[in-house]
Parts: sequence; C-alpha cells; structure tokens
Amino acid sequence: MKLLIKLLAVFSVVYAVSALMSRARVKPPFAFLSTALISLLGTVGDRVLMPKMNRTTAAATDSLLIAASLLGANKLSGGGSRVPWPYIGAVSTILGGFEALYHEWIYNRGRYQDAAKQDEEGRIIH
Amino acid sequence: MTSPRVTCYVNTCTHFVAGNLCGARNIDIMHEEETRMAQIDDHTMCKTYHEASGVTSYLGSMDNVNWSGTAAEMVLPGHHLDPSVSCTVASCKYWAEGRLCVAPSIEVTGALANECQDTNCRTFESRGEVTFG
Repeated sequence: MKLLIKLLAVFSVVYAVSALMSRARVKPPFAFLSTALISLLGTVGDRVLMPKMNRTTAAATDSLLIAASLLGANKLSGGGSRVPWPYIGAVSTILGGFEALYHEWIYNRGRYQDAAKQDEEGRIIH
Repeated sequence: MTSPRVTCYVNTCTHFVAGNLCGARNIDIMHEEETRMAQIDDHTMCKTYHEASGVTSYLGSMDNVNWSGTAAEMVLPGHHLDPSVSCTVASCKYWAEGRLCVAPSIEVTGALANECQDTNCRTFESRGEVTFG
C-alpha cells in the first residue's frame, strides 16, 4: 500500500511538472522508467539507509537520487523526452519534500528514541 | 536446524533494516564480558553490531550482508529477513551445542547504541544450573 502510494506520487509528479513546463516533454517510456528507478532505489534506501540518517540528510539524499534517476531514465529510454535541468530540479525538489513526509510515515524515529534508556537530563545511557 | 526469527531494534547498526529487521548474513550473540557467564539479558550482546557512521562503515560490513534475503524481503510480500544466529551464551536455556540458538524467535535491543556492548539479546533466559565464576 505504501509502495503503491509512492509509485503514484512519483508518476504524477513526473507528468504534472512536464505539463506545467513548456520546455519539458515527457514520453511514456521515460515516465515509467523514471518511476520504476526512483521507486526501486528509493525503497532500498528507505529500508537500509534512511533509519541511520537524520531527517534533512535523508530527504536531501533522496532528492539527489531522484535527479540521478531522471538523468539515467532519460538516457535509457532513448532520449525521446526533453528533460531540461529546471525540470529535473523541480521534480527533485517536489519529490524530496514528499519523501520527507513519507519517511515519517514509514519509520517512527520517536519510538527508538523512547526505547533508549535515558538519564534524568535526557542523555542516552548505554 | 533453522535459525530463530530475529527482531532487531538496534537502529544505529549498518545491518539494521527498517521494520526491525537484520540484514546481516550471520550474527554472533555473545557474553558481554569474556570472563563472566551471562546471568541476565543485559550481560549479552550482539557482537556483529557495526556502527553506521558513514560510507566506510557500510563498506566495512559488506562481507556479512544477506544480499539474497534483503532483495527477497524488498520484493516478496510476507518474506521475513533473518540472519543465521551463532550463539555462545551457554548459560541461556535456548542455547544448544554447536553455537546454536533453539528459540523460535529472538529480540535484539539497544536503540541508539554506539558499540556492541550497548546491545542485548532480550530473549535470554538463564538456564539456572550453570555456575558463574
């Protein structure tokens, strides 16, 4: 369910931003490939790396990963789409913001903070 | 002999996977102090703990990654990612000859740990008849 929402969000943003940007043109192979790449790499990152990062680093890393995925998808899909830098920047920023919210949904940081033993001043005791 | 189902709360370990899973191929549960048999769960530790502190820490722990299990966990619904468990805590009632753990499932705790001594096998139960020295 969570993955489906992520797939839908990525696919919608890839298309919506191109519709709003006259310089960008997105063809279905690019849209499907970029959605698959962003979701696959993002899911692995969310499961393995995200729990050890702070919120900002995790969202920024996702933005970079999304930008790289868009470039990769453009190359792999044969270049029929027009993907200028402002388009990549806009999609990465919007999806980076989405990921920041998505991370809070899939990983409850507070639960681990609560599970750790703390002294009276809130320092972690090991 | 199958390994127990492992639930891990050590979210600072390179092997930790969101969903309280362990992505290691094998974990070693040991006594926290070499010279003292564990009497309570706090005396045990997961020696496989590897602090996630940058890219190098991930590279350093790559020799013990359950690649196929991790991939299966990502794509197969209902698949549970479990490492094999090698346990030397002979004072635990779930310990068996050959460094085996015969518990159906174990819990490794130690949220926000920064060394292996901060982790514990919460499933530890004292065998009782072992003498401590």
